[in-house]
Amino acid sequence: MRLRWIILLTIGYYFVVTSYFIFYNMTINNIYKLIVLLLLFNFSVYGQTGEITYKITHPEEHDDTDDEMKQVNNETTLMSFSLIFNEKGSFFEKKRNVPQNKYLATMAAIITLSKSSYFQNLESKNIYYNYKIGNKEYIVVDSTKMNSWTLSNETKNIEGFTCYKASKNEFNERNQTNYLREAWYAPDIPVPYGPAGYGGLPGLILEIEIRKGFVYYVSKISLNEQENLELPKLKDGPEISPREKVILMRKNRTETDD
Amino acid sequence: MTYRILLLLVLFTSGICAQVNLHGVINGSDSTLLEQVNILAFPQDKDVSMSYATSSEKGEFSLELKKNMTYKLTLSHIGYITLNDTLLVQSNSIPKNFILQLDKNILTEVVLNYTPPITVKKDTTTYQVDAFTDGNERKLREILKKLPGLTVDRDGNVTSQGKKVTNVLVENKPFFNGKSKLAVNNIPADAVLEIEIIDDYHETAFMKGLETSEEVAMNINLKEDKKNFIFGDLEGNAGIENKYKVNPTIFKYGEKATYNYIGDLNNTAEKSFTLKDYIDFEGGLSDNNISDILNSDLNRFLRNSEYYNNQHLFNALNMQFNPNTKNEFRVFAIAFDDVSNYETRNAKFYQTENITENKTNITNNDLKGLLAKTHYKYQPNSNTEIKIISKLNRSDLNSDMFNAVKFDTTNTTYNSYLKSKNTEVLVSASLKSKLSKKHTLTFFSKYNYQDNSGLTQWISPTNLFNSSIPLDIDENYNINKIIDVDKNLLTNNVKLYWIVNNLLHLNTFLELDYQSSDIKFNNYQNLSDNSINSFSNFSNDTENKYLKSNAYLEVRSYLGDILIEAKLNLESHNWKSTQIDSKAKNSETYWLPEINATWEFDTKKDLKVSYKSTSRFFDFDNILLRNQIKSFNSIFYGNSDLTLSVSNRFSINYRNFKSYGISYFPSFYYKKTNNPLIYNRSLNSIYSETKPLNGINPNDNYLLNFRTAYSHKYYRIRLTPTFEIASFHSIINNIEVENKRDSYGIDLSFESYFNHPLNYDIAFKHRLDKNKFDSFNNTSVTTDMYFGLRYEPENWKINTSFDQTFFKNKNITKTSSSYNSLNAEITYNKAESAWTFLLKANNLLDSKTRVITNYDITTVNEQATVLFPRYILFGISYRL
Repeated sequence: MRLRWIILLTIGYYFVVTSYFIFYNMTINNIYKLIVLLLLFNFSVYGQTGEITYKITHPEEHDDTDDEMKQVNNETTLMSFSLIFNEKGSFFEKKRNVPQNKYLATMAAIITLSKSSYFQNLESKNIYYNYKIGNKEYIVVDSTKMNSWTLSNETKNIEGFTCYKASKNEFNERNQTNYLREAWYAPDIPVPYGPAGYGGLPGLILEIEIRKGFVYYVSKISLNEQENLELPKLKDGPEISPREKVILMRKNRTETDD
Repeated sequence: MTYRILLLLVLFTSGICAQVNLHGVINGSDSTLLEQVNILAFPQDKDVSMSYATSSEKGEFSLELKKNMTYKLTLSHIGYITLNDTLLVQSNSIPKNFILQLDKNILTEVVLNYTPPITVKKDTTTYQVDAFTDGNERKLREILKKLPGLTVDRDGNVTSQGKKVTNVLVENKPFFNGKSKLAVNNIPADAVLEIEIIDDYHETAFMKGLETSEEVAMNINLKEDKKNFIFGDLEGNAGIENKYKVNPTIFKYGEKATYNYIGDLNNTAEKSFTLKDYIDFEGGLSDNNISDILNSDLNRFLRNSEYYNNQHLFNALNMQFNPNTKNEFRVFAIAFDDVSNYETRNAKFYQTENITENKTNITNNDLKGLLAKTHYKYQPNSNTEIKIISKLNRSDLNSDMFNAVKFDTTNTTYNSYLKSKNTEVLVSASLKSKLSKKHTLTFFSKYNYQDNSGLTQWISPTNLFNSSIPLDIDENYNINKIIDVDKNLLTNNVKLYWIVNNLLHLNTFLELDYQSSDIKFNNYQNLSDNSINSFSNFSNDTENKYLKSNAYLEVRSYLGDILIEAKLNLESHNWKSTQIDSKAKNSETYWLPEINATWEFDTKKDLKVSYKSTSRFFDFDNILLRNQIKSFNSIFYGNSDLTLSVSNRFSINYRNFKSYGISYFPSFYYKKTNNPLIYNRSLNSIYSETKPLNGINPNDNYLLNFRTAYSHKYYRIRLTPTFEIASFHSIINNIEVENKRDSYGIDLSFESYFNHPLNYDIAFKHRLDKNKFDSFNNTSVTTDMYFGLRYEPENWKINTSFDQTFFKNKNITKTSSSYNSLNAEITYNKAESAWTFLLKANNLLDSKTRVITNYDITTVNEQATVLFPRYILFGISYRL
């Protein structure tokens, strides 16, 4: 009983003493500054916003590339993507564009993984996106896209930005196959974001291959233009992991045990 | 003692780890402590992993580096110039501080011109075939079965490590139609040198639906001396009632050119050369050729199966020649001689006259045809494509008809003959060029020459004919009609596509379409004494010219969430007709808008609203003055005062698609036709005189359709209720009459896709047609049930289908009839054997006739068609 009281008093004493020393060492102005800063909600030294525009390449065409594939490739040349971020996270989406052929443009969006729009969270290093299964809206939480990179010292220069290569091994739940994902990031823009949910690197991803021959690459960088950049909101729904998403999709197709 | 051990341990462990901690503080040149500075340390030794850290709130950082290793350090922070440094790290203690220089050029906006280089990475697995085979294999499929990781199914579909092979190349070029079945089942095993599985699905089209999956291509490299080979199927069938079928299908594969021959000699109900083969000859379906193919004479001929007897000789040869990757040349020729017999029994009720005409018609058609076509495609680079097509079409039809007619007190027979010759030559050229990233230009030009001539003869022992025809009395009446049409058509168009920006496309189109038709006709009587009775006012010699020029501007843009595609079309129609003693001409101009608005709620759900105006030109046949005999009881007289009719179409289509589960597609369609082409008919008993004119009242068409589908992995159910109304006017005996047709229908079908050998399809259709003509009402009800079964256990394929139709005509004739059709086919082919045995049965229950109702502006016709009688065929097929 007594010991407890002694400990509590000691802690309290130390608290008072350190606070006194802090205040004692500050001028009146600084106290005010501290109070103001503490009161400000969006307090961050790191108050940086930006809007990045990406484009995408398509694989080289040969004479035996069939017409439909050529048209899908053509649709990708009409596409552009936007990545906006603030100090909390980022939001990536395919910008709207008039297609030559609506059906093939949708295929092109699926191939480039831009059918969904992705939110990246700075703190948790998770990505979030809405996905509809059956008639229900879900939020898929993927903790792999911004993690587990292997950094290499291979560099290349993209229009004045020194970029380093990072790679990671990805396992596709649906096909049960492995894929080596490679990205080029620029530490000069030290925000851990990138296209299609990829990020978590010591710099903005300027180039990343999303599927063989389809490479996202940066086309415009705009930083700190907007003081308060608000990200859009996710639609409400239960949170699921990517594995649960595959299972729910299978269930929705009313498949049997396989 | 313990001390020494401890010391050794400490030294030892520090020796193994040999890690050094590099720490310090990072300040900006403006004396601020920098948080979130990216610090990257790249070791000189590439085998050592790099290190990475970020600075804390107080600018403090800590990096674990390998001792005695030189590192290249990069420190970066937004708003500061990136600092690079090289360090050799030796010990822990000394802190290393950095100062980053404030970047005066604050990076706010930069536009890059960068495009990543294209790296071609194709994962290819190559199988050296000799290592896996023993020389006893006959065809490629047997080799594929022996290769690890590959599976082949009965039909010839191949998968590699679970991925589907969707494209088959031989020597890196597509193999005929590129489908794996043809290659797998036919390429001789001894010609194969090596097989490559290319994990690059970009060459192939994607599967239906919005799911994508991994697909691969297979390339077969041939042995040096085996680059030419022949393969195919020889099929022969024989059956009861003297039925036979001989059907060779031969392919020749060569380095320079490939050939494909299909032959068919048969007197059964089936044609071996199908629409699918025709599409393959044309090089596949595309936007450009789909309507030409479906509307072609050849397609109509292939689809016609109303005969009860047939002798068919058919030859089709296709050649493809690719001298190099830029040029593609295809030629095909089809020649056929087809003799078929038809019999129909008609009960035609003339509503205004209250008379029924019973007519039996037995026809023997001898059709000879020749179709030759060349396609040349030249692609000098990826931005340009030139296509040149030429076509020659020649057909001769000889028709013999026997007719028995009964109405009122008349009960007689007569014969009619038709000889028609048709020649057509066509040449077209098209150019598609991508001028720049934002502009594409297409140009098309076509010249077409057509020559049709026909002679129709009616031979009757009695004067059965329309009283307007000034016949001379004779023992035998022999009436002739000759028509000769010579047409020259020239079409040119150019279209410019302009991608203004992401949200706006502007396209402009210009077309000139010129047509010149010389039409001559003459109706006369051949008298028994060999002289001719020329009917005055029953012949004409005309020259007709028509020029249509049109231009449109098309805007495609997003308005909020809605994709708007709007077109404004300006059409100018100018025509001139010079006839025996008259001239007529007219000019008309129309502004025709078209607008489509699509709301895409998500990729599987959208709503489309459309409005479209189109014009329709009356064909020159309708403006030819003077009488033409159409049949023994009908005469036609043209009208040169005709104008075009304009249709306005409005439709709403909603689509809610689910790959699995319930999808629905409701749609509504309304069309109003102004100035429609209608007919003025004068009737006297079954004899009529018809004249075309433009109606004052518009025609209305409504269609409401609610298609619903349920998709399951193993089956699909479809339900489609339809409701349709069509109303139009006619002038009958100088009185304006409204015709109204209401149709209600419902279709229900079930298709199974089980993994096991037994699958079945069930369909049910019910349709009610109400025809209202003035005060007359006629209703016909048709119910159709279908059941199909596919049973495919090992080595066998058993297909059977049963169709039962009930037909009922209410009000007028009150007839009921039913007919059914039971067909079966059994095939036996032992795996990898070259021999296939077949047994085919057609119309097993020997159904005699099929009844349908036809409507005309003044008649309701119940038509019974005699069906192909029952037969059974036994056949053998040998795979070369």
